[in-house]
Amino acid sequence: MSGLFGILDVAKRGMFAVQQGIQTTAHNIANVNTEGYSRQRQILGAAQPFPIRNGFLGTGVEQISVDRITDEFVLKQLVAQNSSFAATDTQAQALRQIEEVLNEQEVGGISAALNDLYDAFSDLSSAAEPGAPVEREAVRASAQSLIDAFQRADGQLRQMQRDADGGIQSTIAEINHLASQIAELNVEIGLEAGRGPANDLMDERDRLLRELGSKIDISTVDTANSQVMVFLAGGFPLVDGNSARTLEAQVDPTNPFDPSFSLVIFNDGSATTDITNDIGGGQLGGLLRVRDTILPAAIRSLDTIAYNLVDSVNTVHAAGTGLDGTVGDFFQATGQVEDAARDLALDANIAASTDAIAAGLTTDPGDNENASNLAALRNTAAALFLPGDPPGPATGPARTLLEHTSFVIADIGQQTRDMQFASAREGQILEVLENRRDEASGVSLDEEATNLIRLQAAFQANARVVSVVDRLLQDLVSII
Amino acid sequence: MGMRVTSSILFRSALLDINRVRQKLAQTQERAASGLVINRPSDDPAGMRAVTLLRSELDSVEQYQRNISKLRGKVAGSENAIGNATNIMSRARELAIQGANGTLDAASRQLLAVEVEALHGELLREANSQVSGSYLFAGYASNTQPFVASGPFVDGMPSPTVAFAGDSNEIQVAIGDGVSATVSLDGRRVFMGDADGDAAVDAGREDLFDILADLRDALANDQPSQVVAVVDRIHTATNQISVERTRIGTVQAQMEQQEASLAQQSERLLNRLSEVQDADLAEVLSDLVTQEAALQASLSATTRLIQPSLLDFLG
Repeated sequence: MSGLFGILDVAKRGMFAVQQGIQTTAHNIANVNTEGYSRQRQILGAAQPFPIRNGFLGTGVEQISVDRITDEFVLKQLVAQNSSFAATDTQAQALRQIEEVLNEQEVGGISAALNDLYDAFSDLSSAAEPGAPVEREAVRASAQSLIDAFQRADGQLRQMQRDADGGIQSTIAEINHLASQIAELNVEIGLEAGRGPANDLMDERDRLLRELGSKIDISTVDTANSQVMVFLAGGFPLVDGNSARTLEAQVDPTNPFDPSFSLVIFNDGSATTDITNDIGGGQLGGLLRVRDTILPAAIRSLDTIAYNLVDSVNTVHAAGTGLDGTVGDFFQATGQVEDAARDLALDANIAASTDAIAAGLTTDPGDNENASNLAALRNTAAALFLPGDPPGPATGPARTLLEHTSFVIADIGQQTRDMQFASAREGQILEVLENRRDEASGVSLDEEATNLIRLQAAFQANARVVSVVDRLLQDLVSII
Repeated sequence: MGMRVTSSILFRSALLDINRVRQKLAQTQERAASGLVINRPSDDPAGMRAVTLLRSELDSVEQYQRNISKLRGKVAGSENAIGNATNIMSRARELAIQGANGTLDAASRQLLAVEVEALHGELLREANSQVSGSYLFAGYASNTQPFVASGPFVDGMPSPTVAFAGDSNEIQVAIGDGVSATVSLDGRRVFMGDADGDAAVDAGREDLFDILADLRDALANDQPSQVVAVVDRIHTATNQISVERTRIGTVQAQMEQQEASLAQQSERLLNRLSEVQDADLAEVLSDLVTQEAALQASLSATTRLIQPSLLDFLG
């Protein structure tokens, strides 16, 4: 259509497009602080021209679409980085707790308690009174304190293990919830596909994917109709277009630490697969490592110290004789390294009477030879029994127990330090990626203000056209 | 096109910077409060290992020191008893020489005999010395009176005999790594001249109780020639116990020497421990000031983050 009314139409369409542009700008400004929001941009195009005899007359402008500005590559990296960061951070937090359990700078440390027991043996050897009744009590009391120290540390580590298992179960629930939300968004986005990009829904889905990434390591594939497929490590499809599969926690009665601990099972609706060992990233991967690798190693370290303590003290103790003629163990004997710290206890005879403590090789009240031998264990280095060794020979390094304890503590410290560094590094990479995402997708108020000025001017220009056409029409009317 | 800087980037960076400064500050404050650079294993794993080992060493040194101070009384008691025995024997020697004098009459010898009986009782008491309820010369049978007389002295009857009821073990106690002190002597060897435990006096040694018994009998029975025979035996006996006195004296010297060496070790270990784990307070305090300033700077920079944008200038 041409003519004056046609021009009015062009100006109207221009003002309309400008209004839509201001709406988009306003939407951007309103969402300046919305997490995961990607700035949107109005795409304009010239409207369908009007053919005339010698060419085409333009009919103005129209909004082709509103796009969101994203860097898809960075978005994918962010999902992966969330996984690595959450996994290392979960482990670093657990290690920080473990090192506090074994912190010798606090009271109640294992090596301090070991020293106390050796001191008590030495005091027994230098006792002034015949039969050393006071020193015998002190030996039993410091042995009991040492047992308490082991059991306190062991109990705290096992509690952390149970907490990690609880975390695994709740993380599985969160993963299932996120997966079903993503599948729902896939449905909605698919329905809107014909009408242009569903920007805000896609932003929300990207945000959920990042959150899912922080729970478990995933990879995503975009399909033709703007839907996204989510795969777990090992290729298991958690979200397949419109539908989500589920993860399940299944009790593993063979777990050596607690038969109520769970495996992670992938259920695709018809079949289930144990994917516990495939999961490496995200909070779930971190918690699994904490529960199944880090804490077991720490618990077995304690067990190793406890077992070798029992073995070395009992061997010497059984060579002597109690004041009452008892010959036997000092600690309750254990057949294996595993759980030695948890099961550490005094021998029943010692618990019943301190006269059963074999201070001498004879029942004579002044015989201190065995007490001296027990005290000398402090500086006796012997090959250590490691988990799995008994009843076979000891395969560990030859160390005194105190040396070995210091190695165990330093090792936990080193692991904690390394994991803290790793976590800080992953956090920094995450920060860089989030900044890169914002560089592309974040709302800049300066930019939006510039747009407003531009749009305001465009609106004024279009309004000007209307007023010119109006005057032309008045001129025409006045002729009549 | 240059980098787009959005307000979200500015806020994120500012927040993370503040967090980092706060973390450092918290660590420095912990060091200032505890006075330690190593507050947990991860602060310095190798240092923590050194700290644990140094503490153990220090603990064992302190234990050796405690052993020495506990044993001092016992060793001094033994030395004292043997010293007294020496005096008793030298008094016995005087009495013997007096009694051997041919001009002395039987009544005077009888008086000397009574004094020898008293000496015999004193020697028995010394040989049965106790410290904290422990018989010093009983060996491991520390609650058994080691020297038992068969009865009192009765006029006209031969002297009672003394039997040994202890054992010949000498108690050893560790007072250093690989160093042990003999803190009790074999009573039978010291007082009865029986080092090999065969219940008979060894060649070249003497039974002190026997000597006194024989001396008393010789004096009581007015047999000066027998008294003369005893004088030589007293000489042997005095040598015998002075050797034992030297032995226990050597232990005392050893303990003193070891105590000095332990004190040095303890000081060295404390210095090492302090080097490894103690915070340099001057450094910590200056770090504290620097980091507090850094935190304030970050905070005040952050308040300016709410920068004016172009929007503020739109009319």
